[in-house]
Amino acid sequence: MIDKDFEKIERLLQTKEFLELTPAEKELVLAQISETDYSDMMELHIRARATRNEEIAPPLSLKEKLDKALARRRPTPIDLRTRLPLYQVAAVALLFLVVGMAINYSSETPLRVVTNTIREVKYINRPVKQVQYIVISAKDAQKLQPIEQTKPQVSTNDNQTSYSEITPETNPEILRKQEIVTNNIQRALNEKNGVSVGEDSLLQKMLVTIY
Amino acid sequence: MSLLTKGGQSAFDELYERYSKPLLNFFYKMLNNDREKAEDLLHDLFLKIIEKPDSFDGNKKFNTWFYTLASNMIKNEYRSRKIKLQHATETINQTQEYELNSERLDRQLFENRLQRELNKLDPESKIMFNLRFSEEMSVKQIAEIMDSLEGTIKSRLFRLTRQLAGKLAIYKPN
Repeated sequence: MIDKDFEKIERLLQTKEFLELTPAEKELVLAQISETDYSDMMELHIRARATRNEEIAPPLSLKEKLDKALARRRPTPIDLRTRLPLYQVAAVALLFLVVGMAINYSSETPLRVVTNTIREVKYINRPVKQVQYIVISAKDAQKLQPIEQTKPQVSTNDNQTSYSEITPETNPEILRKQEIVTNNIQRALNEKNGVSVGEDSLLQKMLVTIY
Repeated sequence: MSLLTKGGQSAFDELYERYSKPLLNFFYKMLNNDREKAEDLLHDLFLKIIEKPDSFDGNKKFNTWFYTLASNMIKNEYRSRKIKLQHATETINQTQEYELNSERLDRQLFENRLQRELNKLDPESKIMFNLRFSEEMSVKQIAEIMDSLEGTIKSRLFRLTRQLAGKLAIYKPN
């Protein structure tokens, strides 16, 4: 509250006695202090300000001393008396260290071993051979004329079983089964690898089924 | 101040011419008319400015900055010789009272009593009172010097004036 009215009340204290105040001014003053307080404070304001008339002057000797001090203080072209704070010295030292290391590092010839990491892959086109062995009875085997015996014959108790490789041209039944088998294999291979057996003549020749 | 930093004699002369007398009188009043000590403090203050001109706070006016330094020196002086100061003041005042003529008696009695009451205050209140009544500074300037808020200074000044006025009421002329 006094913050707001401080200047107004002070101005009144310096210029007007309480009886000279307007009703509004009296209301303003009485909100803060009594009439007696106002009179006492007014007296203090007037007298306290009056005491500042007695002034003294500084002696000439004081100025001369200060002039000498100023002459000593005048900066030299390179003022070596200036003390740098520790952190500034540390920062400069660190800067020199980093720059020195950078120069030293850049002057070295780097030795590098280069390894050829390219892998050469060779694809060898080899014909696929598949041989199917089947068990036939001895009677059927007599009908066949072996063109080449590739496996040793194996004897059993009742029936003799022999392994032989026959050509499909000798038996129409074989030809029919061969065709079925060829188709089945071709379909299976096509499903698995996408490779057509039909294009491999050697494979086709090796697929023989004999009962 | 930048000229003074470079060692400019003319800049220093200008500062000394402008501020030495008001500051000396401020010290003189604050130290109960101890002229020798007031001159010592004035010397020390300008010596600080010569040796460390970079310490000038560019946000403040010269006037405010000088009185901030002076106020701090006064506080330090009070701390160092609090008891001695009180004793010396009373001795001087008693001596002066016998030398007064009748015309100035009333006024001098009031001033002595005011000084005595001010000496009972804490250093900050005394500095604040003198800045306001002797140096006639604005509340804003005092707030900067005392490093305080304007509202706080107003409240303290008003309360202080009322308190002192009550104590000095018996010295009012009829």
